[in-house]
Amino acid sequence: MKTKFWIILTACIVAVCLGLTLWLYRSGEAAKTVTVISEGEVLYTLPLSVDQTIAVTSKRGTNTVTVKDGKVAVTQADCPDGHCMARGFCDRGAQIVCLPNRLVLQFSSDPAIDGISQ
Amino acid sequence: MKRLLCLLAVWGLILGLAGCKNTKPVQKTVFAMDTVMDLQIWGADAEAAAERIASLLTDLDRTWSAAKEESLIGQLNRGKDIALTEEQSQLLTRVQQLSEHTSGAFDPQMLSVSRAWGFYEKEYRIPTEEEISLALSDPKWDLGAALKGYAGDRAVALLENSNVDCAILNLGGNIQTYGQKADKTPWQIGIQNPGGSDYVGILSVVGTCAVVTSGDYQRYFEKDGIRYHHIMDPETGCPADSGLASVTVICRNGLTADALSTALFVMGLEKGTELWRQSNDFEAVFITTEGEIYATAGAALSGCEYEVIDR
Repeated sequence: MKTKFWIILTACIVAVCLGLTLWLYRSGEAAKTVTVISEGEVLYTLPLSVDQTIAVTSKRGTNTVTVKDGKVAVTQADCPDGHCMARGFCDRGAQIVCLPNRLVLQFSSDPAIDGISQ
Repeated sequence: MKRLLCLLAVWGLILGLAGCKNTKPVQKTVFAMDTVMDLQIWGADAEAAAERIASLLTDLDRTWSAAKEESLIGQLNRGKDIALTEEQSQLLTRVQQLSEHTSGAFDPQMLSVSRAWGFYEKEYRIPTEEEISLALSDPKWDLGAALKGYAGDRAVALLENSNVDCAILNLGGNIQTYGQKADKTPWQIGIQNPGGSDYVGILSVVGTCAVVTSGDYQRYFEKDGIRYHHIMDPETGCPADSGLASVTVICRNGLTADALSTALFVMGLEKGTELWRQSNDFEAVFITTEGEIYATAGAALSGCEYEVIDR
């Protein structure tokens, strides 16, 4: 009886540890996302696996953000320079920025690096 | 049996501790100095430190932005006699020293030249030779090539006086690290590919360090198929044409890193290498317009093919 108790307890602990290990491992390999930050506030975190188009409007202007085929781009913008659109569709690297409209598109962290000097 | 249990408990503990390195940092996005800045800070007082750094960045912008007429530097440029704080006069002295140290390749008084090319009003144009020589004879302060680096140093000083573990700040492309990551591994900093949207190689840096890149791709305009970028050669008053697409400087001091990255970009590979051989406070990675990569012997670069520059 006593042995059975220990076996069950051990099995439970093993299960919990295994679960924890798997969970930690999975969280390190999260799916690719892009975080939409407008005027410093995080609005959405979009998975790059789902095609969609959203309009982001701040006090300063509107940008259209398109996710397509695992990549993201600013496809329309009313800013004066259009630098944000010039970047085109990307799935990694430095963030895409529209300075006039204060929009930032940030890719989910690349496990190989902590930052990009540019 | 009990021994096995103990073992499992220890395993659980280790896993739990390992999880700490995955703890999320406090993140903050700040718009200042005509660019975007990202702060990532780990530790008990990270939130408060992020707020303080954000207001520091806004303050520095207000004081030192050459684009703002009412800024301290705007007033200095109009010839106003203003009493400077000790900190302010120290910064002006430091940038002048850096200018001398780089034989003028870094010049903190190039505002008139940048203006002539329209880089301040963002109404780009190619000035005539007359306009260029006129601008060259009219030295006006512009700390644009040093301010973000200086901001990194000031932020580090602030972090040192806060209860935080480590931080990585992206100040408009300037990377400033602080302290050591929880897992004790070096910081891994990608170098932007000058001709693309990814990074070309990875630099390992230990502890508190600045990694600053100057490149022809950051601010530019194109006319008749020619690219005119924002890094002015103080000798010609035109965009520097030294055969380099970017220079990355790794240095403990942010202001030095910022000024040197501009200076080395203007100097080119050969003269830049000479300056490195005479110095012992920085390392550098040069990328030529042809895409060749050269790294000084102390730069811990990986993930790309490159030639090592020896002492």
